[in-house]
Amino acid sequence: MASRVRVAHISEVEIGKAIVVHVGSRRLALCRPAADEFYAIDDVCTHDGGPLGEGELCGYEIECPRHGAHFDVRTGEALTLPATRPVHSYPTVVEGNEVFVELPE
Amino acid sequence: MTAPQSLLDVGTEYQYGFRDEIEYVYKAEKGLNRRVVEMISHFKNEPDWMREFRLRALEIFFKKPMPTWGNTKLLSEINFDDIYYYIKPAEKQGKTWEEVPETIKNTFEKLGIPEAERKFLAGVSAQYESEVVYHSIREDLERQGVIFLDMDSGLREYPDLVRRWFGKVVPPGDNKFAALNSAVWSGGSFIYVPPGVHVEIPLQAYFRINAENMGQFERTLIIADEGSRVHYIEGCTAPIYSTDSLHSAVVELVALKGAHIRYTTVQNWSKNVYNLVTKRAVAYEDATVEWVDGNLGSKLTMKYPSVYMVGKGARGDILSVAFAGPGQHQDAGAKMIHAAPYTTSTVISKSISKGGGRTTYRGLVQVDEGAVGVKCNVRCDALLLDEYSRSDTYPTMNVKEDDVRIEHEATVSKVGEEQLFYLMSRGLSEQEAVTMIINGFFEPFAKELPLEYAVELNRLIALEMEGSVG
Amino acid sequence: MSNMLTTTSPAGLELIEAISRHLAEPEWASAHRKEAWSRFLQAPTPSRTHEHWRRTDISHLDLENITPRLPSEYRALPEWLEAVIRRGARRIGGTLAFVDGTLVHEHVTDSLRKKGVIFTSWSQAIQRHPDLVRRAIENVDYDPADEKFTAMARAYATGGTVLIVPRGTEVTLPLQTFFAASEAQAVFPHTLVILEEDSRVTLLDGMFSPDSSTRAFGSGVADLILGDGSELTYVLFQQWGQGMEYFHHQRAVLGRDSHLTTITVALGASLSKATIESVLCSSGAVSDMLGVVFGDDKQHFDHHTVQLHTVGNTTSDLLFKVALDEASYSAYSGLIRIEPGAQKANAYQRNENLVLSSTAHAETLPNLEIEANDVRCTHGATVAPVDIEQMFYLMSRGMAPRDAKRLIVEGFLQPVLDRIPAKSLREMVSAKVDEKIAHRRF
Repeated sequence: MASRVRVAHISEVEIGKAIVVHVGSRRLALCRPAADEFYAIDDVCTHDGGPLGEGELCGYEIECPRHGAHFDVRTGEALTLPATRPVHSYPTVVEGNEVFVELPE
Repeated sequence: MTAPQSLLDVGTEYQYGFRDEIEYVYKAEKGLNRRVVEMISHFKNEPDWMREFRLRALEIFFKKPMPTWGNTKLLSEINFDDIYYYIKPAEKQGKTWEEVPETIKNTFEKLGIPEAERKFLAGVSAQYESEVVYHSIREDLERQGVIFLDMDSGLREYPDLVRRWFGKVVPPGDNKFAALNSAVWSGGSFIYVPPGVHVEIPLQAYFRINAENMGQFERTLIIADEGSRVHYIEGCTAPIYSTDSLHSAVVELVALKGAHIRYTTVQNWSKNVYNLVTKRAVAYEDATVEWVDGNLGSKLTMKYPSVYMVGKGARGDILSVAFAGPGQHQDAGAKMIHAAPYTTSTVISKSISKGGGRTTYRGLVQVDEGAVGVKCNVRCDALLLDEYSRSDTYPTMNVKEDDVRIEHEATVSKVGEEQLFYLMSRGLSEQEAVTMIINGFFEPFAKELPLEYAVELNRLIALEMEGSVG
Repeated sequence: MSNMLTTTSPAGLELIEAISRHLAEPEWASAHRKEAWSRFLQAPTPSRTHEHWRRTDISHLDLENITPRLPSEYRALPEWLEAVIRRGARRIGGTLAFVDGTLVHEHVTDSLRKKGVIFTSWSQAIQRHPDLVRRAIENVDYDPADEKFTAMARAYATGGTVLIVPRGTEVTLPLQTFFAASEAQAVFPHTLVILEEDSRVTLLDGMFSPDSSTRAFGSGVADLILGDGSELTYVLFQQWGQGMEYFHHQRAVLGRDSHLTTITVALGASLSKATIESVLCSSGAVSDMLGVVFGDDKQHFDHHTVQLHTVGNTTSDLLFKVALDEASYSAYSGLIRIEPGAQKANAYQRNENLVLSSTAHAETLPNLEIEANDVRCTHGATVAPVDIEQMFYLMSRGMAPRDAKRLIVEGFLQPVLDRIPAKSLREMVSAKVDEKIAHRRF
């Protein structure tokens, strides 16, 4: 069973940007590549633990500010080295003006 | 017993230290800003995505701090505002040797390029300052679909292939100098080898810095498609100036399933060149990447060729030798990233320091979760020829699996007195004996080079050893 | 884990002054504390951006608000500690025991006393032998990378041992100190060893606390000073319970022709980080450093060793063995540094990691910095699983797989434990290692 957790009001995330949200002990990067698109991935780069949510979002790609690895925010896939493994991605739902993330139990 | 060949023609100074008087077609203003980057992109008539890529990289370069490790003192002496980031030496690239401008041709002839080409090369590329001035590839390889172009032509003629891989192995954000290269890159090689094609004889590139305060930022991308093989060799020289030059290359290698890439470097920059290079390969299933890396010249080299083994059964080999004389710091090493099961790697590093020179081995071996059955062996040997010199060894092994075998060993010592005594008892002078021991020490590297290079290496060592003993 | 270390003690400088008053310290000792305290406040809290702290995250620690209990509060000798002491008592020359910084047990044999050996608590040593102690701590080194913790330990030190062995004296029976911490306490163990010329002794510092779901904290320093021709064997037996987060800085300074053997045994604590340093600053000095680390659960170990050769004709050797089970983590980093002019220095270093579980994580960084050429320096590091051939061999002899694995782990660690010279100490330490191995399910 997944649990649904509210993480942000849509106005908290600018279009084309990402923010860091805390859900329990998890830190997620909540990305908004387009007005009505929200994606959530783990905030921790699989290469060296860099904070992805503080990186720049370009289209669907987010860049780790530490060593420049790119990830696809839709799937978590690593698009460039030095990352070799994907980050976990979480389904999101927008209800009204609130963004929810579905977390696995 | 006779002395080795190399001892018969020892010189007295850096042989490639001459400079050419040349009228450049274009020389950008000194210093780095958006205007310079846009101008480079405009000159090269690049697609929008590349211009954006460059400008974005420039922002990253400005934002990233200088490395806080390594030789921070020498690094802090780099004045980024006092460097020419782009110099165009000739109107167009020569397809035949005759088309190359006379002065530049003379330079490369002094360096032995066309001769080497005739002898054993499958293709040659010669870069002078920011641009490749001469390029040729053997027709039979071209017919088999092998692409060997300068990077700028590669981008023009194969935009999709370039875009698929450019900056994917070394993204601009990787480090400050990768960002710098990504912003102002010019020249370098683009190679594609089609599936199953074996390029048995080496492709060669020659890099020459001539102008004072020059920054050379070539960019090389090699893609070996499934089951193919290729060997690439590069050599580098520069004149001696009282001010420093900067060479900051990015090299990306892609070895697809079952492919084999060997990349050989004989770096012999003059001792006023900062050589700050990012070299990285990605090896897919059953692919092999070999870096054969020799560092003899430069003031400060920081270079850690790496292999990311992302497919099962991939293999990485690094053979690295370094020689540091007075005022030189060779900070070189290797990174082996085992990101897939049953991947194997070896690192052999050999270094010699002399006359206050400093060599550093800096390495990383990493085994990711799930990468079972990994084997890696690292061996570093350092020789110190006198009490003023220095050797450092900084390896890191980071293992997140249990079914792996990682071994690292390093030794630092002086030239063996017994060996020396033995050789001298056979009639060699002390200098000859030491030179011979050093040649023997570098033998594993020399034997991986084509003959011409091996002879040249021995000659360079003899040159470095001249007057160093007794 | 719940939050820890609620204290009713006065904070900061007042606390330092209170400790000094309680221990009736002379002015110079109190000044030493205050200096340490101001260094503690000035030193930045290390973060992972610092190379030395890259592998240990301490961002959850609020160091400025961690304080010790005042030493005057009465502490009883806990039963378990009494049992430990009783068991080893016969072949021991002297025992000190501290609980939360308060001396709870002190036993020194008559023969030791007769020889003029000083083996006593920090506060008594300051009263009775002020000149010796003062000289030893005057030039104390605050390692810049560990300064936050060494300064903290020196400012707050309450319990602690001073061992001074007079010239030419050989102490045949080993000495031992136990530092114990109660649940949720902060402790600051401090050891000062001064060996005068041609003296010889073995000392074990044992560290114990109950397993607890509450966090406890410790920061300790050990200053080992070896006079010319002296021989010291120092055993650090880190057996803290779960919940403890412990930081240790040990620095030995070796005189001419002196011989140091340090044996670090790390079994306990949830998180422990130690720097173990030998400074070979006189000709003929020899340093042997040995280590055993055995981790399980989510234990985090970070050991840094330094073999610093500032002069020539010095020799150092190091062997660190690490066995990791379950989701434990170990970082070993070691530096051999030969300074300019230190000709004819020999240095060896070897780190072996035995990885017993796919979720364990081993890092090793053996470093060399060599600035003299007439030297011989070698280091080696390995990371490997249990040898399948050994397993097969033992199983072919009728051994169950889990017993075979236990035997292999024992066989891996035992060669280091065998180097503990005193039988009583060796048996105590080996028993604890075996106990931990026996508890493993494998």
